[in-house]
Amino acid sequence: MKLKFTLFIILIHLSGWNQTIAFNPRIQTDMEHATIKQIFNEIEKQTTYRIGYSETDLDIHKNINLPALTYILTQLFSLMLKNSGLEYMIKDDYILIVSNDKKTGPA
Amino acid sequence: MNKNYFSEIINQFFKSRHSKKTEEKIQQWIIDEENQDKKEKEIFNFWQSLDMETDDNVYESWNKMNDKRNSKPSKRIIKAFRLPKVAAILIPLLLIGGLTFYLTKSHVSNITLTVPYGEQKKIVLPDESVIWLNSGSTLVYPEKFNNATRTVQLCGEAYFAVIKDNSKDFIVETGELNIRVIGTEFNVNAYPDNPSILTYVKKGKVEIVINNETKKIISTSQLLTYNKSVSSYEIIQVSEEKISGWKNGDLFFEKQTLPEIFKILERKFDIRFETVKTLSDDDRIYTISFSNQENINNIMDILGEMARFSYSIDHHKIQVLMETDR
Repeated sequence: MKLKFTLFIILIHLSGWNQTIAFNPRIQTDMEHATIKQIFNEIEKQTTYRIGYSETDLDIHKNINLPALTYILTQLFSLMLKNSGLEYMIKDDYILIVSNDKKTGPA
Repeated sequence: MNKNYFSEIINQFFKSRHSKKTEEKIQQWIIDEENQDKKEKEIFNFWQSLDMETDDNVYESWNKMNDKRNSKPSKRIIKAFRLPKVAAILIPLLLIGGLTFYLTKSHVSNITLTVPYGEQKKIVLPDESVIWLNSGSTLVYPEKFNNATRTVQLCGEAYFAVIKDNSKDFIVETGELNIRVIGTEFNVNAYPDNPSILTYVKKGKVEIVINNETKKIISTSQLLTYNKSVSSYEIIQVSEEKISGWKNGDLFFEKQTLPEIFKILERKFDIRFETVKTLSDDDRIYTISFSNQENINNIMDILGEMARFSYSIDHHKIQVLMETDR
């Protein structure tokens, strides 16, 4: 039942791209589904990103269907967080899962 | 003739004063051991023949004489009699005491090592086992492992790389939980202010004794979490090893509340969270890890984004303001 991910890091350095989105690795999987926790582990293992979240909000044991063979990192997060009321934000080397309903600007 | 001879000299001597030379001569003759009993008897007779009342002056003279001798004869006798008895009691006592002290000292001379906040330490025990001690931890270990077991006491967190010795088990005592191993690598988290004690086996097998009763064996990649308040435990398999990452300076939080995370940051960075304004959601649990490259500001920035709070740092003091409280 172990998932096997293969990671392709594609360096698309188009001039003028923002640094934070210039490095968006692609992940390939031969499994049809995996839990969010398993996907997080693979992302952390194969990229320099660290993922932060609250288990109070996020069900990390939820199964995610992965019909495609390859995913771009950001696509994968959209897939995992669909209909969860949560969103992700990338800050430096961290991908943080935060709720999108309480969004407030800094006071 | 003999009797007259002694009595005559003594009577003559005490009745009047004589030349200094004569007095010295007679004194010498009196204290001479020859015919001592006869001389003493005549002195006693002469003393009895004197018709004198004992008055204050007599006692005064007596006391003066004793003062001159610098001690009272009666006491000296008692002391002389007691000394052998006292020695007979004291000498064995001192010997036993000294021996006990010497033996005890060589067996239980313990070393107490405390790592202050903001620091970590790596130490090598007498048996060559290596221990990493986390911030704010204390380890007590003997100077030499002379006893049947290699026993150490831990308060706080430590990573043990124990050298194998089949004849001497290695025991970590943490209060409620004792961890017994032969030779293995494991991490123990037993900070007194934590609600639980965590034992993670990196490599090998360990026996955990809970409250001197329940025995449980866990092996490689297993984590035993003992809940202190309800005296229960659970064992889980840990696939991704981050638990002992602290010894490289990494931080790893899994399912921890903000107060718990702040406590760990206080120890690691030697800081103090001043006013954590009654965290409205204290029970929210977070999972995140930080590399050893991150300073406290970076960590607080990330945590603040994730858990929605703002903060300010002044020297070693951090104030946290939850967004929901604004």
